[in-house]
Amino acid sequence: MNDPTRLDRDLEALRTLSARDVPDLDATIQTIRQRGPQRGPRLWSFRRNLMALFHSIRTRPALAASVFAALAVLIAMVVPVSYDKVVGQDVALTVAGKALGRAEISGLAQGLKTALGVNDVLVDAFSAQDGPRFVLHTTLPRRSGAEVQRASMDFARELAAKGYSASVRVTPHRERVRYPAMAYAFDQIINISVDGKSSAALEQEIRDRLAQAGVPDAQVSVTDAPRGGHEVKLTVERRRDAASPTPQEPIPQVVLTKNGAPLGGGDGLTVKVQKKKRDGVTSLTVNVTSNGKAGKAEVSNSDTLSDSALADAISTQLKQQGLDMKVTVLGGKISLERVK
Amino acid sequence: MDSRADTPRWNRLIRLLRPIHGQAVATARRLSRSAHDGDDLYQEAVLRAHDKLNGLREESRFRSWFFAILLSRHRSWVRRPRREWLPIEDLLGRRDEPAGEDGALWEEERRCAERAARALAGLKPEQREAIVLHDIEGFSVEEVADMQGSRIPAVKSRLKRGRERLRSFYLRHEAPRNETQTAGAMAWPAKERSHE
Repeated sequence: MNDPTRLDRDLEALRTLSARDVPDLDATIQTIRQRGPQRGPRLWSFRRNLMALFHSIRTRPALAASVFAALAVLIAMVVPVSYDKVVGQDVALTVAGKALGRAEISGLAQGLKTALGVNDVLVDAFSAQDGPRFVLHTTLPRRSGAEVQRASMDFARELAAKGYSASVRVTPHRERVRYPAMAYAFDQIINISVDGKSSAALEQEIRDRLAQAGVPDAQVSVTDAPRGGHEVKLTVERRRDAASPTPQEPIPQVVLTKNGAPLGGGDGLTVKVQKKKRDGVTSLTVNVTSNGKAGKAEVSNSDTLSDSALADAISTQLKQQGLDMKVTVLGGKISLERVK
Repeated sequence: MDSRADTPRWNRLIRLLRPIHGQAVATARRLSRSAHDGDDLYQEAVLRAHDKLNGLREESRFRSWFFAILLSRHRSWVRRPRREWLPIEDLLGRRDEPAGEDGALWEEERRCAERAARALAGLKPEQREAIVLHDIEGFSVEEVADMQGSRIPAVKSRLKRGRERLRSFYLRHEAPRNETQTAGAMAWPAKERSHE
């Protein structure tokens, strides 16, 4: 083959010819120094950099996507958003009894401080026909709502044993905070590991963590699944006046993890039921996600339908969207199950 | 302040550039698709070198430092949208070159260079750089690796693959007398080929 020889000869020719008529260095430098305007260098520099950036984005899409993703994360870490965050638990202990005087109330307040480990207790006094009523208020820093509830209930039981009429109410203490968007996103996600936990322990942890996140009324049920693992049912009910200017509190998302990795939601079932009442007419929306497939059923005038008719209407609409569900309506309460 | 007005820095750059100016311009032309593009590439590299000159500590390393900048600009150029092709006279300086006594020899040399440039244009930028710097300029593999910011095995691989592609190009263009312009390769004007 004579190609290498030809190649060498051609490269030699290229070497020779491309070295001819090389412009003088001083003339070249002169040309460079005259290139571009002498005025407004910043503007020109900005324009040049901007064009270079656009060019880089066009020629390196993967790099550009990574840079934009990093930028988005950076913005989320820096730009603050305002939201209500559960920062503790408010405890309201209501005590009534004829023998309650200043000294007794002072003693009860001290007892509550000791029981809950707080420094301050505020007492409101109310007079009623059947005798005075006192409400002891305190706020605990962020702790499990369930734990606070237990401690408060124990204290209320002690008072009841002493002949007082006592009741306790524990509510999440929310404060308007201003944190980066990233922190807000993390606040909306509750990660719970299922490793080595029994169903009862898992149920308790989910309940506690939800209470801690401001959802103390979640109905949680964790049972052992027949094929191994756990079956988790989580129900949260919320009512909101449509005319209310206050936006509905977001409900945090519970993410169960195993060996540090989120459990696949492939066989999860999420049901969101919304009833809207306006001008006396109730409309119902059921959003379902099953095996990663989403569907929606909408029923207007749902209050006028019987339980079985409502169940039929929902299941028919979901079936049309490829979701085969067994819908049960009992006294207006809707529950869904996948058809096996 | 406009960096172009920084005379002491320019003076320093001119002093350092002077010994390698001719070789650097020729290399820029060999990496580019035309002499005009090559000269533009060289000018961009000089401008960038001027901007970064204060970062150069060892002047003894200026040559490889400058060539590394030249290669960086070359890759940036390759990624840019294709530009208009310019006449071959720009690459070969033929317009101003007297044909001499033996016009046929000159014509043959021009045709060979044209073919080599077309073959090089078909290589990947890194391969083209390795071939131009090592096989044409005579830099060692270590020097090329330093300029390309790569490891020696990578440069050897580029040289090997680049040469294979060049040979493949020559095999495909076995009949040199009747070969025609390949679309997207070098810009050889029709009036030039009419002499062939």
